[in-house]
Amino acid sequence: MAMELGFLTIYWRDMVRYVRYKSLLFSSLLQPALWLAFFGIAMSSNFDRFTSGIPVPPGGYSIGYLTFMGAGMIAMTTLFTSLYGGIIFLFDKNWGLMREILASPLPRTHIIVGVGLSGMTKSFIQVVIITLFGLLLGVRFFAGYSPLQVAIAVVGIFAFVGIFSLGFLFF
Amino acid sequence: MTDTIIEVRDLSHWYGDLKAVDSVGFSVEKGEIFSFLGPNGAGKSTVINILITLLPIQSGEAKIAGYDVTREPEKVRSSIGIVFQETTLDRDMTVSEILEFHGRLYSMPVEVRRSRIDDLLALVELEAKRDTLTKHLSGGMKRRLEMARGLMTRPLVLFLDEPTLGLDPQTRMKTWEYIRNVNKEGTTIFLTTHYMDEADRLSDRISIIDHGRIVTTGSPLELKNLLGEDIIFMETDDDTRAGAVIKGEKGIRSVQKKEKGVLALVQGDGTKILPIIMERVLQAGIGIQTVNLKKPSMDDVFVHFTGREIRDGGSGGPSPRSADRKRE
Repeated sequence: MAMELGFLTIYWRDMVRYVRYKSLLFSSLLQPALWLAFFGIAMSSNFDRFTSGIPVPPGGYSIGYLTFMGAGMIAMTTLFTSLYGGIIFLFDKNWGLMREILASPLPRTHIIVGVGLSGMTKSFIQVVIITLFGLLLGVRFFAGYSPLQVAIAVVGIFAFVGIFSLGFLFF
Repeated sequence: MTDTIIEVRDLSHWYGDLKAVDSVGFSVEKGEIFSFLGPNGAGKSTVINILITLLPIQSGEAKIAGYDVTREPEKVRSSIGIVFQETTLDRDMTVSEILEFHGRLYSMPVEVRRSRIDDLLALVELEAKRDTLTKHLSGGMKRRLEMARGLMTRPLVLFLDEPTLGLDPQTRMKTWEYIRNVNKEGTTIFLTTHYMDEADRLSDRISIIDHGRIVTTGSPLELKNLLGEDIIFMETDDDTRAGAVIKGEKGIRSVQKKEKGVLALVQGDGTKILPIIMERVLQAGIGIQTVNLKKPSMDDVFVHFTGREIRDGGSGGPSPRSADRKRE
């Protein structure tokens, strides 16, 4: 393996631990979905009753509250996943696990890149789950889009989540 | 042929105002087991941390395998293996994953990695635990796994920081055996310890370190011979006078008055000298309560060179080590 791919080692380790830590994995995957189901459905039935009386301004179009909330759900989940990903980094250092890595010939930048990538991957996995679950619940993420537009929208979501997660991982 | 593999010159390190390492200099030959013996907080771990490039050199210089620790840290890092003082195993990874991860960190090719993992698990007798999470291993197994990890890259030098800290006597013996086997296969070993017996039985050469300074260096035998061949300890009615009487005798190298008795270092066969000096003391009209004759141990050597017993146990109060933990 070439030295330039050293960050994949860090990435691999982080993902192994993510999958290994069963309770955390389970809750991290299930929580946003449940959130969306319980809160989303309960609140949207209220909000939609309110807003149904308000006329749609010219040029705009109406979306359900659940759809409105779906985007926020993705952002919030990314936020928490990334914060946690960053904290793991800190624990590693505190418990001395990082000493092994620091004393190895792996360049320091690869540690950052590896952790960044794995944090991003975790967020992506959750976004996929939320999106699919949301569609199932009746969130209209891509209402009236052509397949090309859907593809562009998905790329847009992932780009946003990627940047957002990196931001929260390291700050 | 003897090559110097670790060379340290005039190394000093401060934690704030505290001078943890004070112009330490030593060299380690290729293929030997070299020990740093000293109490907690003597500066042992600091020296190791500097040598393994985790702490910057503040003053002095150090070379490992011909590479300068400051100027070529990457080369140094790829020539050494480390077993840290505290456990640094990921609880949620399996035994083979720990080794796999380490191999990948050092960019070892896949096939080499696989075969090395098999070899090492056999060496440390952990084959049956291959797919066990490390949190389910016993303390001794964890140590063995860490040692295997340290050897993963076939390092020229293996650093062991207190390798048997907190292990039971049986596991300690076993660990020593592994260390010796590893050494026989050509790995130079640098170890730190505060256990006298460990340094004594394991090392080819020992440096006694105290308050950040190397007090003396030599093979265990040399160090013990410095004290003479036997030690006689006597409790008498009048230790000061008894000391004076003994001092003039043939074969006595030196006499020290201790809290509760007289300690004499003997050059030659203590069993023959003991009856003579007992007679002299009795002739001088001094009563003798107890007599003790023994071969000098590393404990005696340590006391002789530092003037005090080793501070044992982990509760030594604030040490450079705890300062270094806070900083990290």
